[in-house]
Amino acid sequence: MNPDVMASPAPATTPEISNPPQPRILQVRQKVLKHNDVLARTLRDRFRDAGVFVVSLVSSPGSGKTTFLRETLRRLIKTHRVAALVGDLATENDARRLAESGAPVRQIVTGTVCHLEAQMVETALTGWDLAGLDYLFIENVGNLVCPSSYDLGEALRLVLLSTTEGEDKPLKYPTIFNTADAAIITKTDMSAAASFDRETALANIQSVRPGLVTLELSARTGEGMYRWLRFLDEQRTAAKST
Amino acid sequence: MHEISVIQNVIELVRQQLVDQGPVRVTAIRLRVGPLAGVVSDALRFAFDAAAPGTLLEGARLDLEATPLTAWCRNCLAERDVATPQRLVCPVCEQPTPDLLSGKELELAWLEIVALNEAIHES
Repeated sequence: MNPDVMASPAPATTPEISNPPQPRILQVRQKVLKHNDVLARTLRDRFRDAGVFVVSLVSSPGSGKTTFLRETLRRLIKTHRVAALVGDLATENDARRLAESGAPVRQIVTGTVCHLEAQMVETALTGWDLAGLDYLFIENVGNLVCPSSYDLGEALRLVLLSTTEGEDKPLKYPTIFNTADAAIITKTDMSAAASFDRETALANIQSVRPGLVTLELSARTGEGMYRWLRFLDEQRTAAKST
Repeated sequence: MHEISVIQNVIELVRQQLVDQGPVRVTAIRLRVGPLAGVVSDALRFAFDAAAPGTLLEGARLDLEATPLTAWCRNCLAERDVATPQRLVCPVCEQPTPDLLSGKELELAWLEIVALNEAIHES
């Protein structure tokens, strides 16, 4: 339909017999979340220019994001400059826990918003010197649904799944797994107690996102953490060379 | 679920589109939504009905177009329709198909608008 076709105006004197108004189509073809995407792209460029590798974490509430991130920060801070942002609807408890690692941490309190958006990340970074960081971690609100739609400008998005959540999660939440760059199965020390079916969980992850790198670890016992840090280092090195 | 927030984004996008259009009324709006867009069509329609009144989308018909989930099969070297997001495999050769070509859309396709001085004459 020609968007430039104008409807003929009705005669001013006899409204009762005027022609019915002609609607016209205005093609838009724009992403509804364009504003977030544009801002995320700007952030991505900013992170790259500053040389900081940004990693985001998504999962259900209770999967162990904070403990995993705290243990990651605790190890990395010995040799790298690290910082973290954490999003929650309420409380600053997670920021406090992460700060136990010694890293600078800021809490983003979203109120009722169920996910982080690029704007919130940009605002939270005010005053931080990104060029002075090697790694920036962004822990999203515990939610396997909403964060999937919102790019935060990160270089690596991790989806966490704990052994206590069962094997079905990937099948129930294909969208979030499809936005992730790696999956981490956490709380491996609880596998036996939870009767976790590891093979099915791994197969389900591959079913919804073929080829997704999957790591398994326990932040509490330390099992698998070294392999994770090596993977992280490889990703950062690969990103620097592009 | 954040479908209300998505509709608010739609309203803002529509407002920007109408800046150069003069006084018009929106009579219809088409959104294209893929199965991996992160929104549920029913919830989107519900959110639209709840959030549109009092805005420039009041009274507009909402068209929701479901876009297909398609992927590139590296084995067949062809574009394939994938039946479900739970299993990204080629329907023909059963090989995994991680390379999605469509299915993540959340797009404002078009607006149907009517100039306001003509709309007055509608009974």
